[in-house]
Amino acid sequence: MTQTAKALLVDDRRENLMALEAILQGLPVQSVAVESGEAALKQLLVDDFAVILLDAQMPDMDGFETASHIKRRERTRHVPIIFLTAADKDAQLALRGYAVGAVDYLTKPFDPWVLRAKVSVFVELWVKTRQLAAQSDVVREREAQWRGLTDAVDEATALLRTDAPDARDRAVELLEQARWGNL
Amino acid sequence: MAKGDLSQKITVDAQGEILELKSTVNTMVDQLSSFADEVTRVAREVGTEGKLGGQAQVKGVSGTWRDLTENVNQLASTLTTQLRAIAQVSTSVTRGDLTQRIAVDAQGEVAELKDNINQMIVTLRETTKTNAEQGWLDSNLARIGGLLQGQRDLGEVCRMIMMEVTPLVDAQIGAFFLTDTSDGSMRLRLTASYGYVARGHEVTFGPGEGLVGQAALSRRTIRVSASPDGRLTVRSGLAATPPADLVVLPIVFEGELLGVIEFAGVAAFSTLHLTFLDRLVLTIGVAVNTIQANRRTEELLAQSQRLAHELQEQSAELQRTNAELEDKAQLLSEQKANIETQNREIELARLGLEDKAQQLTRASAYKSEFLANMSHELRTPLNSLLLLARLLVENSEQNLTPKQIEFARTIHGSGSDLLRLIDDILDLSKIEAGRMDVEPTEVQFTDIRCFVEQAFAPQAEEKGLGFEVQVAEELPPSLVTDAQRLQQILRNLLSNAMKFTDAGAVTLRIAPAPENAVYDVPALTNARQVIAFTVVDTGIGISDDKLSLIFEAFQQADGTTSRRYGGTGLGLSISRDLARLLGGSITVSSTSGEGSTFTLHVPDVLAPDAVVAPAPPSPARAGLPSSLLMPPPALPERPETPVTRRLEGVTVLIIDDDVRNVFALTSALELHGMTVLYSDNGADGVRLLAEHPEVDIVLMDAMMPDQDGYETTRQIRRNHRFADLPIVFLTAKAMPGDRESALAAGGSDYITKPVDLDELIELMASWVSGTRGEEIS
Repeated sequence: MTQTAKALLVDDRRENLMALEAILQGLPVQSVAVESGEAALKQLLVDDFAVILLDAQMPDMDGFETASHIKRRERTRHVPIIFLTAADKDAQLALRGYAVGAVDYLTKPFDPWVLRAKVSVFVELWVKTRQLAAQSDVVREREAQWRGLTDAVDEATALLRTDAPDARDRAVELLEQARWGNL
Repeated sequence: MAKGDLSQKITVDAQGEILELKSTVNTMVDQLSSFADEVTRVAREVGTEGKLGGQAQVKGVSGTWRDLTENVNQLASTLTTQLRAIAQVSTSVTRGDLTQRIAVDAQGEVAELKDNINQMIVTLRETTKTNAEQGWLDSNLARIGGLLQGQRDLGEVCRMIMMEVTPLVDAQIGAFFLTDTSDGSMRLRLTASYGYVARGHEVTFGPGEGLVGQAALSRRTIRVSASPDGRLTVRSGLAATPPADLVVLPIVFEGELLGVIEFAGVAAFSTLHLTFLDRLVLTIGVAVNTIQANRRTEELLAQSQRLAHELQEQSAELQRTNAELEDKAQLLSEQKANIETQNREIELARLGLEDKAQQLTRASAYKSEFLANMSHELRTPLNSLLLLARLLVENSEQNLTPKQIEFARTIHGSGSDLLRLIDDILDLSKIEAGRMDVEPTEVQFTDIRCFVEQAFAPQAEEKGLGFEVQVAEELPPSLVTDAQRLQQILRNLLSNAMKFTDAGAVTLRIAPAPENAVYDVPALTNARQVIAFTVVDTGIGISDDKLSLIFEAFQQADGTTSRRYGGTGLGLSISRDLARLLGGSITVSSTSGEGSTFTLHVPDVLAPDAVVAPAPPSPARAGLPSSLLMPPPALPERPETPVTRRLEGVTVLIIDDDVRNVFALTSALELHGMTVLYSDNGADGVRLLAEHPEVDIVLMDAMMPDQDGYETTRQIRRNHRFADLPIVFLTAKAMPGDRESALAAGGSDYITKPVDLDELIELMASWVSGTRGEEIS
């Protein structure tokens, strides 16, 4: 479990990115800041993220389009997106955000602690998911191991049942091989 | 015998003398008896039986007897002659011949009788003549009257009278003059004539002119019993005889002169004829009058009928017109009502508008006031914020990490931006509220240059832009204007230029404006000299259709530009209004992509009264997109096909600069179990390929900036490890030559954008399995 959770911060204003990074400081999360929707998509092509903080209003590809692309990709569709926007009072935009799959929608200026809390929840979730995946990998591995051993035992038993002269040696070899692998 | 019986004869026979006597006496008795018979017969015939002409025939008598017989015969003859003469005349008279006279000689009573009878005959004759004349008169009058009856045409009547009457009165010339008052004065006009030769001209007489006129004037018949001169003649084909008698008769009816008739004859007119004429004239008068009256009546009738008809038509017309008028009136009243309603509505709307306008004015005033106050209130806390941020940036206690210092710097930067925005809003609201004052002072151009260079040279240097201020030599050393406002405008223009220019240079040129330039600002037109401050940049420029927009408050040439370059879009609006305050104007010319040139024209001397109130703010505001709810993204179902299974676990490298396309493609390919590596440029792609030998197939975008797909492919192929790596080209162009170029560059296959996913999957599957097949074998 060495991999740190990553948060993708998307905003066309560098100072906003700076602010977001500042807010997320201290959380067990690595911030990746990009200044456009296109850059965000590129990042998503090469990396996995625990959460995406997405500015709704950006030139060229805005937050909504970015989100719709993200949501269309199987690998990224479960990444939680928190929309951030300066345009308050416009319920339509919030609706749009939710419509494209945002898990949350915050209007600037937001309470940094709220954002922090939300991000930390998603990071934790991500970590848990990761752990779960790792554990299931372990379980799968154990199961494979166990099945191999069982198979070897079965095979060895079958060998021992035969009256072959070298049955005992081959059974031992089989069991040892199953236990320690091809050494 | 003696006793008178003469039939007795002596029958006694006697001889001799007695016989003789007896014979004599018997003869005597016979004679006497014959005589007596004759006388008695004649007396009885003539005297008693009336058979005249009887004569006693007694033969053989002589002497006294003879005388007596003769006397009796004489008596009978005289009586017979006289009676027969009387009877003959009487018979003639009885037969109507009154010309006879009893011419027989008679004496005594018979003569008296004869005279009486003769006198009686004369009297009878005269009476008969008078009666005949009267009868002629009456019958002719009646005939003419009958002829006149029923006549309607005056001319016809006149001709008829001439035709009938002239011969009737033994005249040879007749003329009929009718009174004609048609031309105002009374004239007697020859209407019909008999036997008269008018010498080719119209014969008319006025009252008193000639005998005709005289007769008309005096209303009396004039008779001339001898031709006074030889001019009037009765002409026949053979002879020309002067008339012996001439009569001129006026036709008068109830005192009114209707005409004059003139007759002339070669013989004198008889009294009867004259009387006839006199009486006839009355009849004619009545007839002519009747006809005239009739004609007048007819005329009047016709006229009245015509008038009645016209009246009827007019009445119909009138009725129709009336109906139309009524319709129109109704329509008009409706329209009037409509218009009144509309007027009321308009009035109401106007009142509403006035009300709204007042509200707007008030609201605008409130808004400006509010903005002015608010901006001021905002500045106050901002001051401390900026101050403290600045203090933190300085890190005087040296206890901040570099990150913290950067945060503080960001706080300061954002705060400064906010302050500028607030200042802008304050300025704009001040200008709009009319509370911006100008204070003209003398400003040195060198001061301007200093200020501008100080303010912008570092910024230009930072951005790597060239920056130059050119002050023309022919300028006076100074101008009179509000220095602060001028600086504000220049700052705005220059900071815009800096902001929108990424490479090149920004230049401020200060020079006198051309003499012949035309301005729409009076202060400039009236100025002695106009000074032009021209800011030239090599930035992104402004397209033509946006040029008019950029001066509006909160507008920039492009909504997206607003975010890319920041700013509120207030700068130019404020600058324009400030330029107006300085009595000048700002013009702009620009080419999109090549740069913009903003020119500020100000008069060299700002007269205080030249200040123009700024235009009211435009209500135009760039609205945010309204309902843009997008349908929730539909996730494609993961297709389970043999192809899918064949592609599972395959690693694909996509080299494409279009991230949208790549992302969509990646989504699809990942659904097929593929692992996607991505690079947005050729160089990175090659590097990525070197790092990831597990790449089974490459999707290559043909068109990329810097290093295109062909070049990248060639680079990849140069490495022998990738000699057989399938490289599929993606290109938006479907030109025939593209496939060849792709294959020539080393591409394995070729597919056009927009990519048909099934086609791509199939294509990739065939290439991947082919590769695998080779590996397996």
